Amino acid sequence: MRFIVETRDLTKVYRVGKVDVPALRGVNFQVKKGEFVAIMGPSGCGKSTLLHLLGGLLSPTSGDIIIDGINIASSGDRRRTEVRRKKIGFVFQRFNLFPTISAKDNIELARKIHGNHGADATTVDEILEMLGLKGKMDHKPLELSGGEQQRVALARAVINRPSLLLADEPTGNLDSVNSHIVMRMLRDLNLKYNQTIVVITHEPTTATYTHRIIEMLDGKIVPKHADFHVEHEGVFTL
Amino acid sequence: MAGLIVSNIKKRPTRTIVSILAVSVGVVMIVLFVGMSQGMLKDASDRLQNVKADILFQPSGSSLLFALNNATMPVRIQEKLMEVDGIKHVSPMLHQFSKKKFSLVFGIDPVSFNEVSQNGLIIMQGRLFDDPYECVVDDIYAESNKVQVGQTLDILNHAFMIVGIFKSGIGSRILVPLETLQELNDSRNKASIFYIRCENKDRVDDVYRFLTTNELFKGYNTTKGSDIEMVMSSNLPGLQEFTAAIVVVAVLISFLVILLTMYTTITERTREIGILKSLGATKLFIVSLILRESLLLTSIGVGLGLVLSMAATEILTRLYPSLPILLKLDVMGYVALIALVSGALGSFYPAFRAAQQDPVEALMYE
Repeated sequence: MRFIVETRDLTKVYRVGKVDVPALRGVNFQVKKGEFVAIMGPSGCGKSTLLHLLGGLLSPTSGDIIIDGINIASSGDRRRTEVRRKKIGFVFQRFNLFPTISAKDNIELARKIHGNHGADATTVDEILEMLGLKGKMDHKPLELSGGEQQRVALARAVINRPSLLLADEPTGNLDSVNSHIVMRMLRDLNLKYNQTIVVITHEPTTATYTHRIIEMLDGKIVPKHADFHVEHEGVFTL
Repeated sequence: MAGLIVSNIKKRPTRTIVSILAVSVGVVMIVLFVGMSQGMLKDASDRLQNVKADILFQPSGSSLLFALNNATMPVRIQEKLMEVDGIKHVSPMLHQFSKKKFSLVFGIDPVSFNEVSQNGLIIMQGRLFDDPYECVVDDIYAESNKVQVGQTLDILNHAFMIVGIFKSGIGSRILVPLETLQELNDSRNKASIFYIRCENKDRVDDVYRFLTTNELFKGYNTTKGSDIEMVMSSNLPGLQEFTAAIVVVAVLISFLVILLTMYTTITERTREIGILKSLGATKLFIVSLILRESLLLTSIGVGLGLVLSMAATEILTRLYPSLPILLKLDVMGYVALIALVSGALGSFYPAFRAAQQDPVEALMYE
């Protein structure tokens, strides 16, 4: 079984003034290739810290983070940046698009940073078609609706065909209709391209689109809520 | 990436325009100052060379830039010079700086001056002076001061009748009789310089060697006509230092403006830098992005500065025809390079700071 994500005894302690504030207290979990996983939990439970650690934006206090076979916990900034560039795509709650350039340029920028231009032209067209972005590419982000902006962000995140897509509250700024559209697109990407996706959310409805929910509390994974399986869209069972 | 750079510059038009203008002001400052100083030197050098003297003979401590000194020597030295083997003509000249006209006035002996210059003084209108209080001016002076033959000119608080206009490029812009200027200057029988013409060009080196080694002429400044330009530019006291000071000030302006612009830009765009980092952008990529943006700003500023310099030169020379400004391509290229380097240096710290930003903090920046 190939894991795209594996953490071992992962801890993260923030130093606030003279006080140590533990955010993660020994997190162990794995995500298989092609899995679509939701990480849920209340505010302050450590899920954002976990996402930032998985994305190599933070370094852990201790433990291992193995992304597609590379332990980024023991890697330097340069190596983590390379893993982020080659293997990870990010989607944020606030879209985080560059407001001054068009949707097309936002996506092209990600390809430029990636270096080898990621997916081939056909796949790029397919992705844009799937996300309903054809015809919107010349618009600047502020000329698009929230849902459209998030779809551009989604396209930017997957355009280089990353091993892992990390989404931080991707529907947090969207109404229910757009939330549904975005989550359905994430699921389509997962199905069509076997895209491994980890979504952080506190909305149960969002989590219903995923294969599995990992619940966190006080910097730890709560065992009793692991391994939910999706039966059909919008409903999940034990 | 070019799209992002251009859009960032267009995002804050006022700041962009101010930055570009500040860089261009620095460029204009250097180009015009260097252009003026080189133009004045070249003009003075050309006018001196056009006298066609083989050798210039001056008192000790004098300079070829006549405005800088008033040293004189007895006119009777002319007789001693004429005795030197190889010298054919000697013409004395006394100069006086007219503060009122902000111009040099030369007192010349027309006969010997024409002998040395081989009739280089070309009268375009009127005639050469005959009476003590007559003068001739060159065409540039006449045009810029709107004077013509028949008018009087106040020189050293005395009224001189303009009797002729000569072709510019030789001697000074205003020529008066030598004896009159000696009288007004309280320098009777004195001269500032002797223009020497040798019997032929082959004798110049011999005569020069004699004048510089003979005890009789010891302590005087002797310059070969062919060395005028070199001697003038190398002996000008303080010009290089002053030019350097102007360059440093202009470079500092460019440096500080770009530093401030890029620093505020980086602070404003903290979140965008976080996004770039989340996309996997390397530190080098971010530094390169900021540097390119600042170089684009500086390049536009440099381009505008060069255009403004040329426009200012055109306007100034039309308004003040006697003001020589020499714009040289190599100087303009050098100034452009200096401005670009200072712009790059000014953006280096903000670029480095951007590259060092913590990605998580940057992404959370409001």
